[in-house]
Amino acid sequence: MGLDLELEGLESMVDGEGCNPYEHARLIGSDVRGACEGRPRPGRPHVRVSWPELGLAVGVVDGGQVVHNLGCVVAVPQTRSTVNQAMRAFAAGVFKIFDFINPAFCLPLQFGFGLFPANPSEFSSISFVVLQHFVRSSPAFQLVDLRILHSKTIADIMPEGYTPKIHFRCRTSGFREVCDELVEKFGDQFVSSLSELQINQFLLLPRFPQNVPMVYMLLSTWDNESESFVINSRSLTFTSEEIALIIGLPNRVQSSSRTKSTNKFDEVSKTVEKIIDEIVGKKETSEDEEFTLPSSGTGGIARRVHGRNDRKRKRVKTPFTTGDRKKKKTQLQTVNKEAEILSKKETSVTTRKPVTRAATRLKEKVTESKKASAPQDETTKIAPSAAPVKKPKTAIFDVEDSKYVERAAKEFLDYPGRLLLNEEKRNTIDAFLKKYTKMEDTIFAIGDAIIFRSQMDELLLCEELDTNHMDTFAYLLSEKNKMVPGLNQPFLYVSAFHWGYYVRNKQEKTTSFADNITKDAVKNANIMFVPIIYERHWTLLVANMKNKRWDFMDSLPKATHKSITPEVVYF
Amino acid sequence: MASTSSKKNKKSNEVTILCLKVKSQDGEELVYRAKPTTKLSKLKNDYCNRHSLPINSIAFLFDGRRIHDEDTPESLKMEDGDEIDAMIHQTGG
Repeated sequence: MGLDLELEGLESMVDGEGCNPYEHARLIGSDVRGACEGRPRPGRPHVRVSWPELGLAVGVVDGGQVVHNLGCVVAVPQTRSTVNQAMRAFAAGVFKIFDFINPAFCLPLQFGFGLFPANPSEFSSISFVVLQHFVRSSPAFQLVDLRILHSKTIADIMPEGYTPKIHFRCRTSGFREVCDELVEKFGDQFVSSLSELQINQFLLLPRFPQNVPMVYMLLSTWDNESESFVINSRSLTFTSEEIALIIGLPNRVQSSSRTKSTNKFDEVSKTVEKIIDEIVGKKETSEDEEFTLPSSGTGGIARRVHGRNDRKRKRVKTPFTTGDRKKKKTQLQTVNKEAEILSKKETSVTTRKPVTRAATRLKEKVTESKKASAPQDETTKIAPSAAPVKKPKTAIFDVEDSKYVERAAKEFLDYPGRLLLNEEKRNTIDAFLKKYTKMEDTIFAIGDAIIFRSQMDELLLCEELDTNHMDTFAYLLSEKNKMVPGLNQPFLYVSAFHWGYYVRNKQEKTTSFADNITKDAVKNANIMFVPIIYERHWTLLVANMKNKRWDFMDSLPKATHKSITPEVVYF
Repeated sequence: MASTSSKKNKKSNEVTILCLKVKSQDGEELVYRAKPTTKLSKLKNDYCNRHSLPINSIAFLFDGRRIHDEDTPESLKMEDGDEIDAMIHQTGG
C-alpha cells in the first residue's frame, strides 16, 4: 500500500512538478513521513525521491545502513560528528577554490558529490545522490545491480527486501577510478541537464545558484599519490575515511596514518604566515636584536657554552697535572660565577670573552655602517627584503665587470630524421648550424619570440621545448596565415609567459605578452590558443569562440595536468 | 675663467649611474650599477654567470616586456631603482 503511494509521488516528480521530500511525504501520507524522520525500519521505504530521466536518485536516510530503494543506492556515514566534520572540511576546501559559490550552503558541490543536507536546520540526516551509471561499473564500489524504475514496484526488483547487505571497500586509490569514470560519463548533455535540474526542489530551501559543471572540474583534480584534490597547485588532502563519507560508503580499509584535513591545513598555513610576518617585521625594525649579547641568565645553549671550559687553552697548555687541572677548574668556576653576577660587564676573563668580543665587534660594525653609509640605505630602500624568512639578499654589482663564457656549439649535428629530409632543407639546416657557432647566438628574434642556437639544437635533437619555441611557432603560424589568407582559421595566441608573469606579479590586468589581443583581433578570431606548461609538460587550452567552449588537449592525459585549467580559464 | 670651464667639463663628464634591481623568481635580488648606455645583455650575462645559468634559459622582463640584447636602460627609459624580472624558461615535453 505504502509502495503504491510512493510511486504516485514519484510520478508527480517525474512529470516535472517537483516537490521536496517533506512535501512528498505529505503527498504520500503521515505514516511514511514518520518513517523518514525516524530510524530506518524494515518494511518502510526511506528513499523518497528519484529522478529517473537523469539517472539520479535521492535518498534521506538516518543511521549507518545501506538502503536500496527504487533502483538507487543510498548510504549513510556512521555517526553525526564524523558527518559534520567531513562536510565542514569539504565545504571549507571548496569555498577556498570556488568562492563564487553561495557560501550559505555549498549545495551545488555537495549535490555533485552526492552530499547535501536534507534538513537545513539539522545536519544529522543527510541526503545522497548517486549516479547509477558509474556506480554500476565502478571497481571501487563493486555494488550490486542498480536499475532505474519507471513503472515497476520495489517488490519486482528486490523480492528479498530492500536492505540487502553489500560488500565493498572504499579506497582512496579507487577514488581516482571513480573520478575518471565520472568525468567520462559527464557528457555535455549530462552537464546541461544537471544544470537545468533545480535540486532545491527536493529541499526546504529557497532557490540557490547552481554550477554543476564545476563538479566535473573538481573531479578531475583528484591525485592518487597524494590522496588529495590538487587545485591551484594546492593539495586538499582527504583520508580514506573522509572519502568514504563524501561518497557515502562505509570505509572498511584501515585508515591511513594521515589525519590531515583542510581545516588543519588552513590552521598550519595561517600559523606559518603569522610566524613569517613576525620574523619579517622584527627584521625590519630591530637589527640590534640579532647581535644581542647572550646573557648568562638565559638557559639553553648559551648557558652551556658559557659554562664550558676553553678547549683551545687546554690544547695549548698540555700536559696538565691533575692538580693543575683541578686548580684551573676551580678558577674557571669562580670566574664564571662572577661573570654571571656581573652579567653585562666584559671585565670577566676566561670563556665568555671570545663570544662577547665577536658579538660586540659585529654590533659595532653594524651600527657604524648604519650611521655612516647613506648609499647603503638607498640600496636597502631600493631592494626590500624578498625572501620571507631569510635575510634579504641584496648585493650591488657593476655591470662592467661581467664576464660570461660563451659555450661553443657543434658545427654538425646528426639529428634524428636528418636523412629523411630533402636535400634542400638538410643543407639549409646544416648551413645554419655552421653559421651560428655559439650556443648564445640569436637565430631569430621578433617581438617577444627569440630563438637561440641552443634552442635550435633542442628542437633538432627532440629535447624538451620551452616558451621560446612555442612563441616562435605561433608567430610563424600567424605569418603563414597572413601570407596565405584562408589557409587556417584566424586565431589568437596567448603566450605561456603571460600566465607566468601574471602568477608571479599577481597583476590582474597585465597585458604583457598579450599585446596582440585587441578588440578587433578577438572579433576576427575563431580560436584562441593558450599553451600551458605544468609539471614539465605542455598542454594546450583551446577556446572555441564560435561555440563558446573550452577544449583541453593533453598528449599524456592526467588529472593533475588538467587541474590548472580552471585557474587559467578564470584568469 | 679657465677653472670654471674645466668645472663645467667635469660636470658634463659625470655620467649618471643607475641602480637596477634584478629580481629572480624565488625572490632573490641583485642590484646592478649600470650606465644608461650600457647594453643590458651585459647585465644578463653577469646575472647568468653568477647563477651558473645558460644565458638562453632566462628572460629579462621590464614592465612585462622582454628585454632584448641590444636594449639599454636609456632606450627602455629606465630610472634609478627600476626592477627587472628574471624569469627562467620552463621546459617541457
